[in-house]
Amino acid sequence: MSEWREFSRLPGSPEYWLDLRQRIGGEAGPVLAGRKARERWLDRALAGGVLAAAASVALLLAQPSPGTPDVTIQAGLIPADPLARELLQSGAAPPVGVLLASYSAEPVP
Amino acid sequence: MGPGSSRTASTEGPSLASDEALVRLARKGEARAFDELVERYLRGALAVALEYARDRDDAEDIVQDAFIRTLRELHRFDDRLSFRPWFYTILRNLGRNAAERRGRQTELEAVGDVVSNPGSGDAAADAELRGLIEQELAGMSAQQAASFRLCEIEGFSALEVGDMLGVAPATVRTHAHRARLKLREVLSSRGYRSPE
Repeated sequence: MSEWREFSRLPGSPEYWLDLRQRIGGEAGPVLAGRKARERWLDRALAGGVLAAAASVALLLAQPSPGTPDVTIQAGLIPADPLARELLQSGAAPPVGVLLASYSAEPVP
Repeated sequence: MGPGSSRTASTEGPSLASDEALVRLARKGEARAFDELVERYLRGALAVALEYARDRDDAEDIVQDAFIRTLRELHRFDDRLSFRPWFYTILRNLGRNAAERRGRQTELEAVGDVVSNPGSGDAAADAELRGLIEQELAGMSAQQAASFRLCEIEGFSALEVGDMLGVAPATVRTHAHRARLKLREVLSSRGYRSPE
């Protein structure tokens, strides 16, 4: 050890350092308590958020399936129109005569 | 590792956690983690604060303010960086503020009335030697005197003192070396045997 150390300005007593630590710890106490409380609040908020999200997902999964909509609705046609139904459900294209007949059968305003 | 980061005097034993790990815990309000940081840095903090302070009471106030400010600002600390230079920057700023409030001309000034540890041997001769050393240090540049005190007298490493003073370790070594040479010269010219 250097002999220069004999000229230290720092106290050598362990009690001095303990007192100073306690003094600083006392001042820090309220700040630390505030941080702890905020941390707890954040933890709770996070847990609440996770629970809410899980509940939302469960609710969505529990919704009944809407089922397959009517083909005429899917095509944007009138569901009650028999021609539209036949047209959409037929495997082959309808003959032009059918379409014309249907057209001419419509009431003239 | 110098005395500034010593981990002695703990009633529960030293922790092996890094400073940054302790910072993360202290940020969450863990008192033990903060106490550990205080223990690690208390000696170094007081040594630096004495460079700015009028007396030891004044230095203790600066140290306390620095730790509390550090605690309040922990959320701003970037975990990827080293805690030590960050802490000492806060401490130096508070030291400068305290020195300015007192209207001191120089921020790093020798403090003659805070020498605490009586050396061995004749008390009068010790006091005279201390006075002479303080007088010589007061005549040096602030950085030079602080580098010498912190490295040679207080036993901190150049790396630690670099962080304490906010300069490169190589600069600290140079300052301390030059100060040592000057002091040896003065002491030998006055008939004193210079400490090693």
